[in-house]
Amino acid sequence: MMQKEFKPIDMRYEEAELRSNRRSRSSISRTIDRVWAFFSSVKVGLWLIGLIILASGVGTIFPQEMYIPQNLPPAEYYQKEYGSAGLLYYTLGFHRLFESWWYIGLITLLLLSIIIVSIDRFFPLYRALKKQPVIRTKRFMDGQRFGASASGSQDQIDGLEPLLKKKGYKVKRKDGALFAEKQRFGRYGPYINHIGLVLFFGGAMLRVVPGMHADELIWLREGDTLPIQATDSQYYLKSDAFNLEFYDPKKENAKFQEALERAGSNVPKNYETELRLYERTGTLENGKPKLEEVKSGSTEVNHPFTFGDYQVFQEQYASEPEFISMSFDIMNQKTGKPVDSIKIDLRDPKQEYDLKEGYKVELIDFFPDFVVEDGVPNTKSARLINPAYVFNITSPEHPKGERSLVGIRMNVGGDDNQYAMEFAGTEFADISGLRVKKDLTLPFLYVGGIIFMAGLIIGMYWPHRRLWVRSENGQVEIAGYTNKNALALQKEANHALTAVGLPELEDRQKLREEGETA
Amino acid sequence: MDKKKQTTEERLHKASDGKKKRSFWRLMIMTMVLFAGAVVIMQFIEQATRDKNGRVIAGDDAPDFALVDLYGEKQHTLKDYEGEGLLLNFWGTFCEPCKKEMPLINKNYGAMKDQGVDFVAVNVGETPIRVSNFIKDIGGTDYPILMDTDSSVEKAYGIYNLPVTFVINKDGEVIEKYEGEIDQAKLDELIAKAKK
Repeated sequence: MMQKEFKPIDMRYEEAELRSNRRSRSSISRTIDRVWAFFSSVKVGLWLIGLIILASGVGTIFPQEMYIPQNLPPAEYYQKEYGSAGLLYYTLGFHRLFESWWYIGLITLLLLSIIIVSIDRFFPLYRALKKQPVIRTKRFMDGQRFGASASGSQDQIDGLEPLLKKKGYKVKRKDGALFAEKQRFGRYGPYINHIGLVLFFGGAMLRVVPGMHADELIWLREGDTLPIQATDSQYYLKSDAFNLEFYDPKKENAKFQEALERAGSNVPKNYETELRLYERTGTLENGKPKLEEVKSGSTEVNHPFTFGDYQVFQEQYASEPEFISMSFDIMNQKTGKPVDSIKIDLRDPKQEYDLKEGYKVELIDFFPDFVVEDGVPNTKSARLINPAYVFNITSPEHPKGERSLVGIRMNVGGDDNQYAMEFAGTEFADISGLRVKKDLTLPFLYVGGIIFMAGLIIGMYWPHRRLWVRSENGQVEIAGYTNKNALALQKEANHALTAVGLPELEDRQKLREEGETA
Repeated sequence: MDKKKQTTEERLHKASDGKKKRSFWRLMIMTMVLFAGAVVIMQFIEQATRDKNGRVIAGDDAPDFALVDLYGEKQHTLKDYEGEGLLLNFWGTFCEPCKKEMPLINKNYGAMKDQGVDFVAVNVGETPIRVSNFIKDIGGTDYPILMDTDSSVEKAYGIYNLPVTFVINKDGEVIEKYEGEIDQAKLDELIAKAKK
C-alpha cells in the first residue's frame, strides 16, 4: 500500500493561537505586549531557571553568613577561614546571596515567567479543547500521528460507540462521524503544577512580611520569668523546672550498652522544661509588667509547647547549672555545736539575717563568680557559678562581730573566730535553651507543594486520548491522538477497531522513519 | 447595508476594547509580580541595616525602660529624659574599664547636665550588696545607678560587651553605640553628639 507523505501537526496547544502572538496597535500596548511576549517564551524561563541554579550553587561554596560563628566579624572570618577566595566571596556579597537583591530579582522574574507562560498557553488550550468539533478536516486527520483508512460501513462506526464507552471514553456523534475522548484534564497538569510553584515561591517570599515568621533562642533559668521578644514582649515564659535524664548503661538494652559506656555516663536520654506562659496585661506601679497566666505545660525534644501561632522547642541546656540558694549552719567552734542556720536566696540576698537572741549574721559582700584579683576578692561575672560571701557574725561573746570570707571549699579568716559559717546545703537551677518559632508561611508551602505534586501526577499518569472516525464515500478514516504512552492508545483503540472489523491504527511517524532508513 | 456596516464597526470597536482590556491586565499582572519582588528586596535591605541578633544599634529607637535606682528611691524611665540628650551606660562591678571610667564621668556630670545632657548607668543584674559596696569603693556617684535586677533592659538592648554607652537624642533615638572605656575626649565627643 502506498503511504501518503505524513506531515505531522503540532498538537501541543491544539493549533491554538498563543496569546503572546496577538499584537496591539497603540505604542504603549505594543510595549506591554513585547515585554509580555518576552516572558511568555519558555526559553526565557529555562534561562532564568539555569541562572538561579547557578547562583544557588555559588551560594553553597562557602557557608552563608547566618551559619558562621559569631565571635568574629564576617569579613575577618571569611578571610581567615578561606583565604583570599573567602575575602572575594565576602566582598561580592555572596555571604548573603539568598537575600541579595539580584537573587530575589531572578526569582521574581522566574515567577513572572511562570505566570505569563501559563496564562498564555492555558486559556487558548482550554478554549480549543472545549470547543472541539466532532468532524475534523482531512488535513487534521492526516496530520495525526496515529491513523488508518479502509473501506467500511456506517454500521462499523456505530458499533465502536459502546465499545469505546466501556473503556471510559466520552463519545460524541455528528452526521455519522464519531469523536471519542478521555482524560482531557491530563493536559492541564503542567498548569496546575505552575499554580503550586507560584504558591510555593510566594509563600517563601512572605517570610519577610513582619509577623509572618519568628525565630528566637531564650535561655531560661528554673524559676525565672522572661519576656518573649518575638511577641514584642506581650508574652512571658516561666520555667517551673528543668528535668534532665541520662541513659544508665546498666539498664539499657545490651545492644547499646557498649556504645553508651564508650560515650561515658553523660548521654542525655530526655530533657524537658515545665513551662508557664503569661500574658502582659498592663504595667504595675513599680514599672514591672502585670502578668496573667495563660497556659502551662511542658516542652521536650520534638514535642514543643505551643501557644497561638508559636511553638516553643526544647533545644539545648547549659552544661553548668547556676546556684540559686545556699544554706549555712552557724557553728560554735569551741563547742562544735551549731547555734542556728540561715538560707540565702542568691538572686536577692538579704543584708541581715536575724538569728536567735543575741546572734545576727550580716552579709557584708557577695561575689557570685568569685575570683581574687590583685589580692582583692572580686567577681568575674554576674552569673551564679562560684559564690563567695563576706559574713559578719555577731554573738553575745563578740558584739562587734567576727568576719570571714566564705566560699566553696574556702573559709578565710575564720580559723581564729569562735563562730564560723559552715556550708549546709545548696539548691541549683538548670538553664534551659528554648527556641521560640513561628512560621505562618508554612501553609503556603504545604499547599503549594501538594498542588505542585498533584499537577505533576495528573500530567504524568492521565494521558489525554482521542479518536476520530468518519466515513466518506464508503471510505472510513480513523485518527488517534495521545500525549503520552502511544502503545496504550493503540492497544485500547485496536481492541475496539478489530472488534468491528476496522483496520488497526498505524503509527505514521514510525512508518516514515522506517521509510527514511530503508 | 447601513445596518451591516454598523455591526462591523461595532465589532471592530469591541475588538479594540478587548485589546485595551488585555493590555491593562497584562500590565497589572506584571506590575503586581514585580512589585511583590521589590517589596521582598526592600525588606531584606532594611533587615540588613538592622542587627541580626536584635541588638540595638545607631538609628534604632531606644527601647523604653523603667528601673529603680540602687537606693530604691526613685523609678527612672526613658520618658523622664525626653527632650534632653541622654548617655545610657551599661556596666558591671566585674568590668575593669567600667571601674576606671566611672570617676571620670562623675567628675564631668555637673558640667554635662548644664549642657542639657544626662547620664544614667544601668547595672547588669547584680545584687544591691555587691553594687553598693563597689560604689562605696569608688567614692560614690552623683548620677543615678539603676538596678536591672531581672536583666530585662540588658536583654532589650542586646548587651554583650561592657562597658557600653548609648547616645540617645532628645527624640529618643539612638545616635551612637559606643563599646569600650570612655576617656575625657570620648566623653566630650559623646556629649556633643547627644546635645544635637
